[in-house]
Amino acid sequence: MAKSRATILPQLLQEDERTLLADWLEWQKTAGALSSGQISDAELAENSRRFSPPCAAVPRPGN
Amino acid sequence: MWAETRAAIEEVSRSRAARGLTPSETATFVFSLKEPLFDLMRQKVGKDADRLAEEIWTATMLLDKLGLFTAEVFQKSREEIIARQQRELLELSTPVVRLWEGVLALPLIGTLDSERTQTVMESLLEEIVNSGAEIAIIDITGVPTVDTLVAQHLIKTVAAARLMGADCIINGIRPQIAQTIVHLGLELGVVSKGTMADAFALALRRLGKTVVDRSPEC
Repeated sequence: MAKSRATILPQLLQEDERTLLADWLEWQKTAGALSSGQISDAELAENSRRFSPPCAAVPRPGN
Repeated sequence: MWAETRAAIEEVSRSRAARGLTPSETATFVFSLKEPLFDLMRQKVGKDADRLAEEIWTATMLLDKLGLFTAEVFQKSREEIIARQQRELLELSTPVVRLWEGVLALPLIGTLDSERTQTVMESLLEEIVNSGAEIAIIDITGVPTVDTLVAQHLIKTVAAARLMGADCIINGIRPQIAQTIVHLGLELGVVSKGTMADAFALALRRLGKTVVDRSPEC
């Protein structure tokens, strides 16, 4: 496996942020994120939105 | 920016821990990002199997790391909550009551460990200063066991109270505790009474107070 190539992860997280966020929210709901009733739909969306942008600058593993 | 990601996760984890959600529910926040992310990767570089594997591996490593961080923060938050509750419980379980002008009482219930005995001593000394009490009754009726360390703490409490100008009376020493104290060869150096009523009566006598029965004769 070639290790020298730069990952497309930051690019994906930035360019497809909206799609990714929408899909991620759906996956969280499918996984039961709202089933306990402790978190509202709006709060889950806000948490996810806040988490998502800085993710675009995550370093590669080991960095 | 990495610090921002960690800060965002930390906030989510702390908030969920405080609300009593499970670690799994909290970690799912991060791990559920895998599926949509991998789907997107398949769309972008799916034709290059090596590249796709490499990208998925990179994303997995990152998300696993973030997931573990979530669990660590969650656990730490829960431990902080438990520690805070323990402190609050400790304060609630060591009340100092003013029985009479110059007489304080410490009704102790439950196991006395070193930390709790230390809190008892601090509460008592503080109340002696605040109230100017001359006598403190330490009621250990509800204390199931006393070991050497706890007995030594009680002795120190009595000595410290004495230095603050208050004498102590201990009441409610159970037979098992009395035997333990004797077996350990400890000398509490304090007057002890069987019941709180006896201890209170002694305290009043020492203060020169008299209890008069004014009930009509039958």
